Amino acid sequence: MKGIVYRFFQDYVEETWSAELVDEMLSLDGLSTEGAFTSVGNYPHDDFVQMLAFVADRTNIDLSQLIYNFGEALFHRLASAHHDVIAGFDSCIDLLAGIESVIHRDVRKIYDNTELPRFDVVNIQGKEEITIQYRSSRPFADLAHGLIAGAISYYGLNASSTIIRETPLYYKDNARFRVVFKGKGVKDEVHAN
Amino acid sequence: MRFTQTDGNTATTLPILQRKLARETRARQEAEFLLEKKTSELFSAHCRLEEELNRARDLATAIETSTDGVAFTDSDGVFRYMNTSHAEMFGYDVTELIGQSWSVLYSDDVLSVFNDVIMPTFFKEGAWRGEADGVTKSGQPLPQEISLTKLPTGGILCTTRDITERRRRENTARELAEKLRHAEQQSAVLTLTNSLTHDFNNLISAIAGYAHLLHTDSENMPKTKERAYRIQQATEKAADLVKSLEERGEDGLQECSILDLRAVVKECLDIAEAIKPIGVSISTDFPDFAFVYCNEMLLSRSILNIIKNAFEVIEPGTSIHLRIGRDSTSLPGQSSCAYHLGDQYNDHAWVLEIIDRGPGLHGSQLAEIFNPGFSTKSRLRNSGLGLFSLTRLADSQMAAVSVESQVGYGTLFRLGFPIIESQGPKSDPRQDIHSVDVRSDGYILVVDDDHLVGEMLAETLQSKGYPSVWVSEPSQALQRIRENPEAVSALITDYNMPQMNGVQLVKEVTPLLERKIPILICSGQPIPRRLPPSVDKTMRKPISIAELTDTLSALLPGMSKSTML
Repeated sequence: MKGIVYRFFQDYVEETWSAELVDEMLSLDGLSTEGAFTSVGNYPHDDFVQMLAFVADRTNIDLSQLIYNFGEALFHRLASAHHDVIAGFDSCIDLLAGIESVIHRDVRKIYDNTELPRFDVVNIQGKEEITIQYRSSRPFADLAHGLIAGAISYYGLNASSTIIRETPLYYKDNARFRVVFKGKGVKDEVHAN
Repeated sequence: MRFTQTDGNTATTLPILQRKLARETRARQEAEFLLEKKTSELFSAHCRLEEELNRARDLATAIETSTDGVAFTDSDGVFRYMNTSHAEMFGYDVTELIGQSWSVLYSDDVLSVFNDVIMPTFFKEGAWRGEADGVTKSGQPLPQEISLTKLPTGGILCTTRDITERRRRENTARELAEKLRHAEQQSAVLTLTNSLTHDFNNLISAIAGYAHLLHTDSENMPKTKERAYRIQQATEKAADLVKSLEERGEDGLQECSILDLRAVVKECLDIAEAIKPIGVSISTDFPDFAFVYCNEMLLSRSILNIIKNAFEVIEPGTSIHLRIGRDSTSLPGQSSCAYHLGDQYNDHAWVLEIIDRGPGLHGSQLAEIFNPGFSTKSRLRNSGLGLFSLTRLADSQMAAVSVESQVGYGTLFRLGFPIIESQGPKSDPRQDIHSVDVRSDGYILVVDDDHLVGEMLAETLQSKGYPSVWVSEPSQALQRIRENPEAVSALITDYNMPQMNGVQLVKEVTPLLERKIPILICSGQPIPRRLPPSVDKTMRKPISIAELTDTLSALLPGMSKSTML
């Protein structure tokens, strides 16, 4: 898993809770690098799972919710760091449709041995609806869910869009998201069936 | 940085900061290491890319400058790339075809073949190779060899080669092979015709001669005289028929013209290329020019037959060498044997030599190879070697022919062409009939290997008052002249005889005679143009008795019939 996610997670924990919690998290036994993560490195995802479980436990937040929340924040951090990439898309639906074909393609150009999750477009109906199939060897469907939500909020469409997670919540490495964009004024809501 | 405990308790925060610093230091070191590694990888990748780029550029240059056409289409069959050769082959500019469907380069008929045959195979196999005729911008057919390969994108990679020239060569080779076949047939018919007309002419001569004698002897028997006259009339018609047959067979074989020998040989080689065995090579050594005076059809036929015969006996890996020069060469070694046809000249205008590295021939076979129907091996066709045309070349004095052979080394055929005389044609001795002084007690010597003709001629001449003696062999004639040259008042000789021909006999006889005597040569076949000056006239068989007696009267005025024996 890319080190940049670990770095952003450290920042997220420190900004949301405290430096002490980060210190405790990075001092956990069993972390492959003894807590020293660099954004250009690549680390076992077990380290990330261990840190997430620790923070959820210490903050008493549901693990899935924690991952979802981090995913939403992660999108904003990535968008901020790679503004030029985001600027290449005309709309939120274009961006969601281009995760696999554009963003991941560019990531692979830089990290040729990177194992990335797949975001395949199952269906797309104009600018109104898109269905994305997430598949990964890692159990981070909630992170994908959060990332999609982050994209929607990045474009300011929280009030006019709905994410429908069509697969059961306990499907962590395989999930289907249908995102419906409605007219302005529709209440922003995130559904999970 | 946000802290949960902001009371300034350094005792709590300091260890956290120290651990964080330690982690960040390690992270930085790892990042530096990773960046260094990445930089190295990127540099290697850059080098690889540069190599690939150069290779791609070379490849692009090779494709662009290739004389073969290269193009590819997208999955809809629309041209996306095309090199200049491909476009120019069809008479277009590249920009005119990019964006067009490949089908614009083919006629409806050819497209239906593509749809029904080629493309189904292409889609099944992923590739197709063959020939198809395209259509140029100006509407001309373009024969081409095509190779189609399915691309991963669903498009088609197409390489094409203009085979117009190859098709032209194939058609030419086919036409030439047909000409060769026709020439062989013509040659076979001619050989048969020559043989038959020779025999018929002799028979007709005899019948006509005896009919004439019968007619003369039947003054008091009107019915017999009438019947003899009818026989004479019938033989004249038969003679006309045979003559017509001869002329048809000889059509085009007598006319000589100035020929570029190199061009004739090259055309023969072009024809022979179609039947050349695999592994046999041909080499040539030609001068800048070589003009000869000869009959083109006869010469071509002779050269072709020599080459064809060589093809049939030489093994793969061996060669045939053709050389044109002023002088002659010989086979190496002492064990070779040679045979000559016709007159051999001291000086040649040009000499054509054809040397094959075949098994060679024994001395006993050399003279036989020119006979119709002769064959040296079962591999050869039963129709013989087809070298009778060389005999014709030699007999008509268009070329001196000789052959040398050495068993185990090969065979050399040599055609020596006489020098073309530039001072214009000499007067034809055959037409230059002049009277000579003759002894009143002499006789006319008739030489003919055909008994019927010889006897008839002698008897007819006797009946006309000319003392005559007939001999069947040239050697007998020579013996008679040697014994008493003065007694021979005139010589009438056949041309085709086994020991020596009529011209050779005249050459032998002339030095033996102490004076000029009238000399006539008769033949059922064409007589050579170049004759010794001592020959006064030539006559074609069947001999007209009236013409013969008229000629003798003109040539032998002093030979009074009343004084004859």
